[in-house]
Amino acid sequence: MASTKDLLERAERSAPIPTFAFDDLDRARVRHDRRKRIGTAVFALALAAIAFGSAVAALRQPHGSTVGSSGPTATLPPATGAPLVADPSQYYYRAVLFAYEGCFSSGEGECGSTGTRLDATFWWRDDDSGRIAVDQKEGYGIDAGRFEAGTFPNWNGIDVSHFPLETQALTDFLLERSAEGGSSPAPLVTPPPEGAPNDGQLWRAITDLLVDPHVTPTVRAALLDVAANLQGAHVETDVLDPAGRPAHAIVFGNWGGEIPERLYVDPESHEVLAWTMSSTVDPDSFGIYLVQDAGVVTSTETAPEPDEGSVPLTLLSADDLADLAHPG
Amino acid sequence: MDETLPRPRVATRGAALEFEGFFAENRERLFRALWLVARDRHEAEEVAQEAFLKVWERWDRVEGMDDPQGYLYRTAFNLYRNRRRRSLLALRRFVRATPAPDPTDAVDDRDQVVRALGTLTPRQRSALVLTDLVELTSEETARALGVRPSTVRVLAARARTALREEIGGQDG
Repeated sequence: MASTKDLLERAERSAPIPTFAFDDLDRARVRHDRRKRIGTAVFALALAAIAFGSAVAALRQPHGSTVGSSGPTATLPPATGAPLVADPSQYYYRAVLFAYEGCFSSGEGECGSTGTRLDATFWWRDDDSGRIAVDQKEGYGIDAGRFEAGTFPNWNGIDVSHFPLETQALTDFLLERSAEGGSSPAPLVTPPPEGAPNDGQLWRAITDLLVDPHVTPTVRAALLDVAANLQGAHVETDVLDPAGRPAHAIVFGNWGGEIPERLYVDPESHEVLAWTMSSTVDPDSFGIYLVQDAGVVTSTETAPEPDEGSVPLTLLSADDLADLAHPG
Repeated sequence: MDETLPRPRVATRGAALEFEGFFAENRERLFRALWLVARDRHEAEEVAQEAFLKVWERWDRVEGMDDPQGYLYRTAFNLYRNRRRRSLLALRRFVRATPAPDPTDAVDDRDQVVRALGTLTPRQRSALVLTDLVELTSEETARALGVRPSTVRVLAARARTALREEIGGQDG
């Protein structure tokens, strides 16, 4: 009988041809160097006591913390850059983290699952093709895969091509869409005391859309304008997101103010940086959704090149998010 | 393992070219070894790339080692082991939908030996591939797998026996 080495060499010949080349490695190294450079800066900021304290306080307190903030305002300051728009051949890229623990119902609704963690990357383009990569998944129902045109999972049945972009028109559209009997009814959410009756419904409709990979940066920016203009919301400028990145925050007190939620917005691109929720009833409950990296790419194998991302890159992991919410 | 590394030297363009040669020389072989163990093309590619990246980062030191190839394999199988551990932990805790298997990820089971390798445990496969195919020593394999050299010898011996029995069974 053949030796084990002979057998293994025979088996080895059945292996497919590897598709990665030196150029791929070179690009990966550039990205890695970029991550290290930015990561060093981010961590220098985020791990410093002041920045961390700011981020955690922002997560835990209804009105968060501001860094040189000009205070609450009614509207979001205009973006200093334009949202990225992909060509039909390009993919929208988003690498996201999600960590969630505890119960946000205060006895009135359903508790979330505990210990939820997600580290996933989405490549999606207009023909509804793309890829989902999942590096970490605990208590979260999502499957990795590569998708031909028209087959990208569309959990919410979203087609944003007909979404209006003007704030009032989009508000009306979302109200109709998220109403009971609309195409995507939003769960009943009690708005903060100062909010309008439909604020909770609109807020949840917006946050659902903001995390959906089918929603383009242009539509996200328009959704954020609607969120900022809700009667029960207010905007804090020049704050830090949980990863220590400069941001504006749209703050909304759900469940009559018991569950403060914050949408962190990149001041330059008006991309979502993070979405956090905390509980004034149960300090151990938290939810953090964080966009690690975002942009437009030409392949489902690549991430945005250095300086081409639409948000500042962060190196945090989903477990880091939990540590942020529970320091020490 | 770092204490055995020579002093760092300044990276040069020449060093980059040398690394490119090292990459070309080892790319396919490392990928194949990982594919035999992981039985997943994407997993093997990702781990191989990550391992090359790590070696490249420290190339100024690795190139002066007695066995840069051994260092590459140790790095790769360490990475694979860590990824697998993380996946298992996640799997134990995940409570919702189970991912549908991706048909493109499946190994080609038409080969009798590949099929037989699938009956071994991942640790047995790793020990067998590293010792008998890559020809690392028990000590080097032990460092890659995070076990004692004696454990490597036991794993590899059991793997050889199981492989031969399986192939014999299939022959019969």
